[in-house]
Amino acid sequence: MADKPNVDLTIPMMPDMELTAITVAESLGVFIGLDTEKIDEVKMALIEACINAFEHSKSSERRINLNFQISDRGMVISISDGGQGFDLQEALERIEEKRNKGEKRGWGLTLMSELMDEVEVDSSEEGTLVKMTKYR
Amino acid sequence: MSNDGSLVSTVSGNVAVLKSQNYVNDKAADELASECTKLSTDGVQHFIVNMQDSKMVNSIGIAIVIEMIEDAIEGGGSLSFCCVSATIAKTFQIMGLRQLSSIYETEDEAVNSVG
Repeated sequence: MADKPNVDLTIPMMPDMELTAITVAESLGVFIGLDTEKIDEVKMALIEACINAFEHSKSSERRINLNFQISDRGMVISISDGGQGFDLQEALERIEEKRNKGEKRGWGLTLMSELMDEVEVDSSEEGTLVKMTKYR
Repeated sequence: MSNDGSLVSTVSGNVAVLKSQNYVNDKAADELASECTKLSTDGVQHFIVNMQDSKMVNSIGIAIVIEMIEDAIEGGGSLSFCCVSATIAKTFQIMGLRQLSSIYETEDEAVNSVG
């Protein structure tokens, strides 16, 4: 496969718009020969990443940018919002506290980490970039 | 990925089988929850959610489903699942849902487990 081809997609922050993103992920997963279960895991993680951005980014642009990079190794998906950023450690601690009190929400980051092979989160006042990798 | 169609498949005594929708998001889960509430007022205690048509879920939808399970247990009954895809089952596992509920391969197995 020549030169890590990639696909760029911008989706508005609207209900169920994450389904547009997973349609692209599915097509690319089939293209590079990922098995069905891995494609489903990518789709599930991507849903969570999109919803997290929709709910928490406080982006005034009301859209998120996705980049899908495919190679012989697998697929790397980058999701960026133009939001206000957050402190990852603080967020994880807050989620843990809430979970201990029986709160049933806040599973997005955990699901992304469990369903993908690698997840990186880079957040600042200029927004958050989540990079997820699934190997073949 | 449309989410149309009736939710209730069958009711037999105090057992109901419901079919979950293509994408189990918060809206779809709320609809399932409303249906379960309605059925419970008619005496249904055991709910089986057939997920054969469900390709995707999100964690918000599952959070609502967990509350449904807890409500069913509180009412002296149960809520279980059948025909669940491998990835949805894995997602259930990660979110701790499997500690509260069972997953069966087929609807028949699920129904027989309640009897």
